[in-house]
Amino acid sequence: MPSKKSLYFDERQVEIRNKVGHQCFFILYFLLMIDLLLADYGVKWAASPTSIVIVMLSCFGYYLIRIVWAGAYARERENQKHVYLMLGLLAAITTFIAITKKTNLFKESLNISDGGFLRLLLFFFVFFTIVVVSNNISRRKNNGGNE
Amino acid sequence: MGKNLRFKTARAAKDMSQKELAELVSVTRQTINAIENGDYNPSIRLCIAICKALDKTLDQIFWEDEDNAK
Repeated sequence: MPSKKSLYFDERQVEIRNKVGHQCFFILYFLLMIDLLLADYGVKWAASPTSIVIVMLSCFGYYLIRIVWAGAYARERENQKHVYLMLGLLAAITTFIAITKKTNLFKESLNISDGGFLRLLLFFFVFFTIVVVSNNISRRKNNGGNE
Repeated sequence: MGKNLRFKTARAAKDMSQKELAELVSVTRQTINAIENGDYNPSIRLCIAICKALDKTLDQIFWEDEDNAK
């Protein structure tokens, strides 16, 4: 019988994820090789770590868009309360840190208003936001409408 | 692969929406939609689950002949 409710992706979703993941793996490999070869021929389009990050993010973005478009990102029934809680918490902490940094509050005594820490929090906030938005789009595509 | 009209008809005869059937067989609504439109070839396990949910046999829903292959 089909897999237990709410825990797994269904067979079509698994198939799509595998197919797109496989494509992305090869795209990533070839793009990294091209990046490497271009550097050998003197073409430098970005500094070394930056170019790799851009290539990886492009592949990740492609993967995300493809599986969200195919409705294979989110499981059928997933309790999202904890995800929203996490997102809210991150948003609150990021806002608090941003305000303390802007107002120079605690600057003398507390090192928490450091710019690097704020950037890290912002990164996590943006990352979780992307995850939650993708989840919602995928779920809506799965279950919105009847025909 | 053509549209599976017999599947759609059997579902409609049971007065079930795609979502209801999807919940019954533990897949997403899009998967049911893809099967009906002939965009996805389901596994035999899923076919059996669908047939049980619709009170039909595999032949009645999934066997392709000249009449059904559009």
